[in-house]
Order: sequence, then structure tokens, then C-alpha cells
Amino acid sequence: MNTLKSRLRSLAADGVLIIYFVFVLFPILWMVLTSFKRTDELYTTRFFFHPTLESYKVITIGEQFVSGTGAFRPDFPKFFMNSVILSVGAVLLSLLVGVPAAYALARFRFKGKESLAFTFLSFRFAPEFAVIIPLSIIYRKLGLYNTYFGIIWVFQLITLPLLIWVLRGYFEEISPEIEQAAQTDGYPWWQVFIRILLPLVRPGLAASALLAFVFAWNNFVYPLVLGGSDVQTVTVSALSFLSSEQAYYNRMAAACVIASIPEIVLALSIQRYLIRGLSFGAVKG
Amino acid sequence: MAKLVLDRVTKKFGSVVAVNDLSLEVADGEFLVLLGPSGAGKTTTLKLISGVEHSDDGLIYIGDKLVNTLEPPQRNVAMAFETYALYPNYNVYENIAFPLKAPGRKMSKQDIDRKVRSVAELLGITPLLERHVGALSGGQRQRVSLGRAMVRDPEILLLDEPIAHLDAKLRHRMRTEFKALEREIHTTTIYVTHDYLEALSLADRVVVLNLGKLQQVGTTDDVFNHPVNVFVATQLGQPKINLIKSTVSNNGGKLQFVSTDEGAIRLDVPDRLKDAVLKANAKEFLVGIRPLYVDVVDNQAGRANVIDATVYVYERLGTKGALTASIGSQSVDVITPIEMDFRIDEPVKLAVQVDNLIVFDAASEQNILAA
Repeated sequence: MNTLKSRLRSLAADGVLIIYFVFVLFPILWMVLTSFKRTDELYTTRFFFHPTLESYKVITIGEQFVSGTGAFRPDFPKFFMNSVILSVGAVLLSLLVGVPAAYALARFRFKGKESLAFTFLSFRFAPEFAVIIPLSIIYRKLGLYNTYFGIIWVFQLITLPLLIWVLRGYFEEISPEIEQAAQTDGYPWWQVFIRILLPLVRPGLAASALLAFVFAWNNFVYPLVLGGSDVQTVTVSALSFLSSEQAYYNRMAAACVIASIPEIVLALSIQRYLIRGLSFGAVKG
Repeated sequence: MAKLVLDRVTKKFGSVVAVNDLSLEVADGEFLVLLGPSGAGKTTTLKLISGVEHSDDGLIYIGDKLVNTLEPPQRNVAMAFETYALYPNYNVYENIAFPLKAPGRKMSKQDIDRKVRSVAELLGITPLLERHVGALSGGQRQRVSLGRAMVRDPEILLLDEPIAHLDAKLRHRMRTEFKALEREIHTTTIYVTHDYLEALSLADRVVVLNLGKLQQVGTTDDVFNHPVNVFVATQLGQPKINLIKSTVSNNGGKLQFVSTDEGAIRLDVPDRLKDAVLKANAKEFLVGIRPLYVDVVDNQAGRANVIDATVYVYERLGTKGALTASIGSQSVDVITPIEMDFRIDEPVKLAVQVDNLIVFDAASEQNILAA
């Protein structure tokens, strides 16, 4: 009797989860379906239609090659590259600056440490729309408008706090005596950092770098307002498919599908670094 | 192998003085034991020698080199940490081999392998070499930590409570292993412990520390039989040394110690202490006698230096017995042969071997002979 009850219960739980699953993933499913739709079938809610790769071809190779006419220039590959440059650049800069900052916050004692740490975290709280106007004024004045450097810099608002806070926690978990042991064993500090400390924070590094990349990649407002056509990203470029003549939702969907591929690939490949329990047992207690 | 000199070394952590004006000279090849309770500054002293902590004051010499400004990799010192501090991302073999692969060392792979395996063999951890650190028991980790410190030929070997977390049997075995090792490797070794048995067994000399200050440095005989103050006397010996608060009285030409509560204990002042007792400007004394110098005797009328006491507790400890007897508000610990037996509240007579008395000034707690 008990097993029947508990089995029903777990079935009900599975059912609820499946419903939630469908609810959450449906927009993505619809987006993928839309990307394969012909323009004339676009405004229907059909699940069964004539799939075509037309949208994909148009945005990557160009309308002229596909249908013989049309003036749509495919700058999509360029936008894709821009996204790559900006997101990777932002994460790299955050790593360069954030890892030492996290270590300093974890190990050293100095005045104002906690307020400094909280200041870093507070960058994340800044609502984009609240800061965007002052930022765009400053950027134009400084000549940072429409530059790679400018966007990478503003992306630090998104990528840096995450990295610092996650890594600080990981560094704090490592006993300082492990560093002392390595130094006593004859290794200068920078070698201790590379050989011992970095491998131990690798899970945190992988997780936060991945998240930082995703946030930077997905960001829409900053490249839109602070960037022009030179640094246009895939997120902003999706807008361009909504022209005055026609709203090419299928091309927009195709662009989004392609844009999401790097993120998925990265997430899958980083999975093996996300293992906990590396430091268990190294230090007594 | 090198001699080590600490010259008035001080280390503070905020307002806490961990090491207070410590001066020490360790001879080349000497096995020195730092003994003291928690908070005595033993671990901090080791870290100052290895360089992972920097002293606030004072000079440290290894060999004849002043090392204050040298970072740990430049001081040829090896340390086994009390918390083990093993590298979690390496297995046991790699942990032990790690110091041998440090920059500046050029050892061939075979040489490294040979050294690692011989150390592992010595410590009985050869079957564990492939295991990861997280899969080891506490005692195994402690031995890996030891192995890592021993595998090099450092000028100074620092061991921080290296066998504290092993079970009693293994601890005893490791103690004898250390003793055998001492004879072979002549590395200057500083060994930290809170266990006086290790100190007595292994040390060439013992340094007793309390709250960062040096209490006494000397051979095991010095610190055990001639402790310079009450603290040192109580650090060594189990059960602790008995201390009886007394005044001195002249009983018909004979000097005697009379216990302050009710005068129930009367002990003759031995000849060797007479001058010191008379010279000491003390109102009260703490008369110390170690439990092993007190014997349970039968009713022997007229024998001097016998205390009438009542049994409080008797512990049978395998090879010996520990009797705690009370006289008024005073209690005395006695070590007895295991054949004896006692019932609680039974009256018992204790004979004190007054030749082994160690007497302290009750106010200053200093040994009256040390003045």
C-alpha cells in the first residue's frame, strides 16, 4: 500500500515537473520552430509546416544568393564575431583583475575591506536603464562610444562582481597553511599560485567564468546604447530584422538560434571542471 | 645541517604577543623539543624559523646566515604541519615528491622515485602512494605530511606535533622510529609537542614555553629534576607534581616544612636545601614532590616524613596504579605498584622521599635554588 502511494506521489511530482519543463522551454521550442518557417507561414501558430533553411541562408550568405533579389547584406557573421570579441574580452579582463582581487579579499586584512567587497558586488545591482543615460554621455565625451574597449569596460559591471564573489569564497576555503607548505617546500609565491591555488579554485573559476560569459553575451542594452554599427552584437542585430516593410521573425529566430550555440557549447565543455570536493581531506578538521 | 640562532625574536598578532623576546641557540644536529600548552607560541616559533611568518623584532640565523629577509623558498628548511597541509590536487606520491621538484632542484626522476619510496617505506605508507589525499585516514595523512618534510635534506627540520593524532600504539612506534632516525640523520630538528613523554624520550634538550615566553631550556634531566619554576615542574610528569603550600618552622633545631592548612603535613627540610630555604625571603613555600617519590607504607610508628591520608580515588593503569589521597583540603597523587589495592575512604600512610623535594617560593613560583 505504501509503495503504491509513494509511487503515485513520485509520478505526480514527475508530472508537475514535466508541465513546468514544457512551460519554461516552450518559448525556446517556438523560437527554433520559427527559425525554420517560411515567411508566408510565419504569422500562424501552426506546429506543422514546411520547414526551410531559407532564414539561415539569408542571414549568413545574403538574400541575393538565396532568392536572386533583395538588398539584405549579411553582416551577421561580423556581428557574431563582435559578440565573441566583446564577451571573451570582458571575461578575460575580469579574470585578469578579478582573480587577484578575490585572493586579496580572501587573504589580507586591510581597512575598508568589506565595504570594498560590497562595492564590487553593488555593480551588479546597478539597473541598466538607470545608469545608461549618464554612461552614454560620459562615453561620448570620452570618445568611448562605439569602441570595443568601451563595451568591454562597461561589461565589467556584469562580469566582475560575479567572479570576485565566487572566487573569494573558494580562496577562503583553502587553508593558508597549504600555501605556507608549498613555499616552505621551495616554491616562490607565483608558482604556488599556479600549481596549487588555481587547480583548487578551478570549479569556481569555471562556473563563474561561464556565467559571466553568458551574461555578457546576452547583454542587449549596453551594446545598443553605447555601441554603434562597428561593434554591433548579435543581440542588437536581432532587432534589425524588424524592418518597416516586414517583420522577419523567422530570420530573427534563426539569428537567435545561431547566437545561442556558443553558449551551449561552452556550458557543455566546462561541465567537467564543475566538480566539488577537490579540497576535502587536505587539511585536518 | 646547520645551527640555528634566535636572537630576541618577537611576534605579535594584533594585540596578542605570540612569541615574546625569545632567544635560543640550537647546535648543529641537535634534536630540540619545544614543549608547552596550546597558545605557548610553539607553532609560531616554527613558522618564524621557516619564514612563512615574519618577526616583528629580533634576528634569526640559520648557519651563519641572517635569514630575516629571506623568503621560505630560500631558507633550506622543511616543515611538517600540525594540520598536515597536504596538497589536495595531488596523490600521496606527488605530495611527497613535490619538494624534490622545486625550482632550482635538479634531481633525476629515478632519484626522486628512490627517495620518495624509501621515505614511504620508513613510514609504512607504501601501499598508499597512488591514493588521493582525501581518501586517507588522519593517521595516514599525518605520515604523508611527515614524509614530505623528511624527503629532502634540509638544513633544519621542523616538526609540529607530528604524531599527536595517531593512536597510542602507533604513537609509541613512531616515537621509537624517531629515536632510531635521530641516530642516522643528523639534521638539526625542532620538534613541537605538548606531550612530555615525547619530550623526555626524544630530546637532546627541551625548551619549555608559556604564553610566548621562554621558561627554561635544558636537558631532560635539567627540566625534569631541576625545574626553574612551578610551570615547568607541572608541564612534565603525569600525574602532575604535588605542590604543598607550607611555611618553615624550627622544630627543636630541625627545620621542617609545615603545610599551611592545619599543619597536617610535616616534612624535614633536606640538607641540600637548608641554605636556600633560610636565604629565601619567602613567607610561604610551595613544596613539590613528584608522585613517583611518594610511597605507600604500612603503619610504621616513629618514621619521619609520613603523611596520614585518606584514599580519595585509585586508578589501576595496567602497569602501575595512580592513587589520589586527601589530607584535609590538600590532595596528594602517588604512583604505586600495580599489586596494591585500596578502598575509598580507607586510611593510608604515605612516606615522602624528602631528598627529592623541589621547593618553590609561593609568591614568585620560582625554584628557590634558581635564585
